Amino acid sequence: MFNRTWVFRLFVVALVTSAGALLAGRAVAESPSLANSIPPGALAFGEVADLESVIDRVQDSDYLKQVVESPQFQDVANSQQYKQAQAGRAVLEKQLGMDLWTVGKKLLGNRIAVAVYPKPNSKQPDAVAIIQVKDAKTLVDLRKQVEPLLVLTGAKIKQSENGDGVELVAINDNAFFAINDKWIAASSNRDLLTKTVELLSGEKAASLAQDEAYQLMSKKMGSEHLGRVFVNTGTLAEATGGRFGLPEKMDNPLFSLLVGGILELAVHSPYAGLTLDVEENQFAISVGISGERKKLGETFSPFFATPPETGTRPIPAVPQLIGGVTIYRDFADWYGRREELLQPQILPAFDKFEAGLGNLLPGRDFGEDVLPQLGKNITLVAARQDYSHLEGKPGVKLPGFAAIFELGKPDEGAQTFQLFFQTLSAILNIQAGQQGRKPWLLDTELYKDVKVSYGRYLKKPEGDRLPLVFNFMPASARVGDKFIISSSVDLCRNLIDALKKPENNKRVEKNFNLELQFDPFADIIEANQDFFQAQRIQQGRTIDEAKQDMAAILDVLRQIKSLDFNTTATNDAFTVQLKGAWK
Amino acid sequence: MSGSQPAGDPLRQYDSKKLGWTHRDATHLLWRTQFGASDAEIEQATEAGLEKTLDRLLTPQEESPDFESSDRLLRQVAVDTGNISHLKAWWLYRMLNSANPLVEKVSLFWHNHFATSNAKVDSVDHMVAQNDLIRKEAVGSFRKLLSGMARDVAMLIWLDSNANRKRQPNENFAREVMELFSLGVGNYTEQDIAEAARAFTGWHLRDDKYWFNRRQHDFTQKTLLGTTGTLDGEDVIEICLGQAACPHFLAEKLLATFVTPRPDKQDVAQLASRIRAHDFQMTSVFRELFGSDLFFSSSVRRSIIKSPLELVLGAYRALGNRPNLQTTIGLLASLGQDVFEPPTVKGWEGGRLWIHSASMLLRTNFAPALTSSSRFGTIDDPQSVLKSDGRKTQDDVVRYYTELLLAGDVEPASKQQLTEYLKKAEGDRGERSRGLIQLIMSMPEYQIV
Repeated sequence: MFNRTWVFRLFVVALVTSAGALLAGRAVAESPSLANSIPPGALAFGEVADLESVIDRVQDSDYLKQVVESPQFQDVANSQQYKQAQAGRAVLEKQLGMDLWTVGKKLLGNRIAVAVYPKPNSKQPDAVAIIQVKDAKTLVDLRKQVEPLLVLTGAKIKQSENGDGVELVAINDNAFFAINDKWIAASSNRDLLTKTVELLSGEKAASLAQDEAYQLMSKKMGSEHLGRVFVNTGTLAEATGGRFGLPEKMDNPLFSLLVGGILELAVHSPYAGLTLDVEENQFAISVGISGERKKLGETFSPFFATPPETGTRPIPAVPQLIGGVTIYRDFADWYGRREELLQPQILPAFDKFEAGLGNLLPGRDFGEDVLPQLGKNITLVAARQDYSHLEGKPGVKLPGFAAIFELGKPDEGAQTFQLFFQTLSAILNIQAGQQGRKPWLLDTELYKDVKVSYGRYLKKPEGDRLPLVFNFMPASARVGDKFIISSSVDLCRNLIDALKKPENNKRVEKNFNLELQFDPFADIIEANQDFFQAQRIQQGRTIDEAKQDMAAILDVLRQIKSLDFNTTATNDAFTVQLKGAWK
Repeated sequence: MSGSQPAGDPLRQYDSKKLGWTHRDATHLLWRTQFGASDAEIEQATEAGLEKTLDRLLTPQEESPDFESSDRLLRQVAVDTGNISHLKAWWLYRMLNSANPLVEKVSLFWHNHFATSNAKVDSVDHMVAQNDLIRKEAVGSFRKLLSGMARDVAMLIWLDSNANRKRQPNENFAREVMELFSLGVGNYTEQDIAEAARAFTGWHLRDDKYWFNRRQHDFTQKTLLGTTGTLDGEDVIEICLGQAACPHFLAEKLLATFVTPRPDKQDVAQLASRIRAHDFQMTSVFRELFGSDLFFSSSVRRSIIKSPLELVLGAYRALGNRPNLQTTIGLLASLGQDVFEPPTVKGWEGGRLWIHSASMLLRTNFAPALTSSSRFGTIDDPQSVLKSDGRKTQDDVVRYYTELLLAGDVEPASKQQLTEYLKKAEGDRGERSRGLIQLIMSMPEYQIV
């Protein structure tokens, strides 16, 4: 009945119901959750509170004005589809006697909930929706205005009352509505609507709030959020054959390394939940599943940190940091378990990989000798460069990039990585000679008692628009149990400074962490405006349009402060969180 | 058609005042001297007449501020990134938008003549420098162009000039100077090549620049094509230019590219004499050629198979496309014409070789991709175009597009079929017009210029 696409759509629809709350700035409404009024057995449930403040904020926002006045929006506004939509809107507003913003605020301003239910022998689920309004009069007025429109559609409408002041409307015998002065309930299933009405009317009956999986989710993720989504993954898994169609072994090694453990947890979790919280200038979206790792067995142990003994390290705070990502994995263990984790047809690729690596690490076996030297944390960092290694600047200004490898066996590991760095530099130098580029001379320096190996040019390149390759001056260094390989000596030095600070040696309770700072990111985009404008011209824009496009993009970027994405695994829960802040 | 079979001197100037100057004549001239033409350009040329149009084509025209800004930006990014696809996009932009389209078309001709591929040179800086040299002398002095090429860095890399040393001369460049650049096969001997190679020894590359390596140059006596002396590279060039074969060789290539794929000997001889008389100054040569009876004769019209660039850019120009240059580059490469990467030292041989089973399929599929998707950009909305021109009836529409895309050279029966299509096709006027354009571009007549 359910396939992967259906499951995905389900989740997206549920997400969309709560996405509208993104810009709200007020606290959650005080009325209780509508989960108490939704019948039990829902596969998914989504709820949003306080949409009125969201609509107010969107309506008054300077950003919306900017978007509407932008040349890009004018292109959309000139399209036939937009004109038709605007005409439809005008007719509707005329009929309703008020603009759609007001309709939204009055009608949707309190709480909205949507739930979906499995429907036997059908790919389409049943749904229930509840809108709890603040202003009873609105509902009455809107009903009067909407009815003629319904008649115009030619729909078969049956109306009745249930005796408790609730009006019941059936349209074409496949959409059912119940309306009183406080709420509207709708469903594609008459029985579900009846149960919903009973619960809304205060009858003591079982509701979704009593579902075991729902209660578990509420306990782990809390119930006081601006928006919430619950998915009963236990029931969903049963309906999709036990694993949502996910294979036991992956056919993509990178995918396995990044999300293998998470997906396996999800398969065994009775719930998946999503919460949304918004403050004045920031938001947080969390997705959670039950994280009972013991159920997965040893095969999946490489994927999860066990704080405080293991976990990721903070992303080093270097000047002009654009962003970084840090991941905890027991790489050696994962590699050793690849036959248990990956499909057999891709295993030969690992043999080829090891054979190819022989050139860079002669005389060593990758799985036996090299990987155990690698610790369980890798961090990637990008930061703006100051180009002190040049007399001038490159035409295309790239950030400096660095990888920081935690070493499982620091002394041996450092030597292996240094060998790797030297060999790679030599290969690149040979290529440089073949391609007529300037080669690097390998040199060393002592920076704050740390030996830094780096490649430098024989003569400092000069010019205001140097070739792309001059963004790179590779460097490597060991700081304690960490090894840095960087595209920039400057970044290497800054990382040495950062890694020497005690706060960078603490473990954090995260499996994966990504941080992005938008100001330096916008700076680098702006510094390379020419490149992006040229791209736009190549795509058919005029030069003025290309400049406008760039200005619009930078405008958006400058309004965002930061974005954080991380995953955390505790003994019984796994959470993925996305946090953003804007100015 | 208003042209007539030439008698006597084929390069006698076409008397447009006496013989007439029509829309078709203007279309023919612009199609051969540019990459296609828009309706507005054809109208302008028709109104201006032959002489003024030739003046405009052959006199440097000022570029618009927008063009100059875009040109500078595109070129800068190509150089900054060192990415050849950005350089290709830059040149395509120029071909489509420059106020001097003949210069771009002739630059392409010389790029093919002095075929040098980035596949070996591997440097945007060097390729763009060569392109600048070509553009500077495209309609200028062939002497300066040939001499410049002998010191051009991309050429030095392409033909292994650093391997040409006095004790072990390398004949690559010397051979190509004679065989491909100036004389053609059969007009020199192997001994001449060996002597020319010695003359070019020491013409090396150092620090990304031409450098005369005295220690590797052979200063001794050489004999080349009957001339003896302590010849160097410049002398080789002058000797080659002085051969009777040189202007013949150039004449044949120019005629095959711009006039007719099979020029006859008399036409070649006449043009060769003009080239010699003008001492390889190409502005004067082109003026005579493009203003000649031969050029406007009926036998040469619609006789050349469009190169991929003519086919694709011609459609863009005619239909007002705002192209996606990157996807266009991919298409041109698939069709066999990837600028800055000619397949061999001989360049693109062209002609019938543009047409084979694979390319014909791509050429035909190009039409629907252009008119019904945004893959290659967005053409001007036919509905708006026809409305603004006041073309109301189906006959008007068919006439407009057959004139624009086929210079009106279509059999009455085919025209009738096109009109029938328009009557029966579904959709609004714009959709039907797009369908019509697709049909016209699928006709064999569209493949020739």
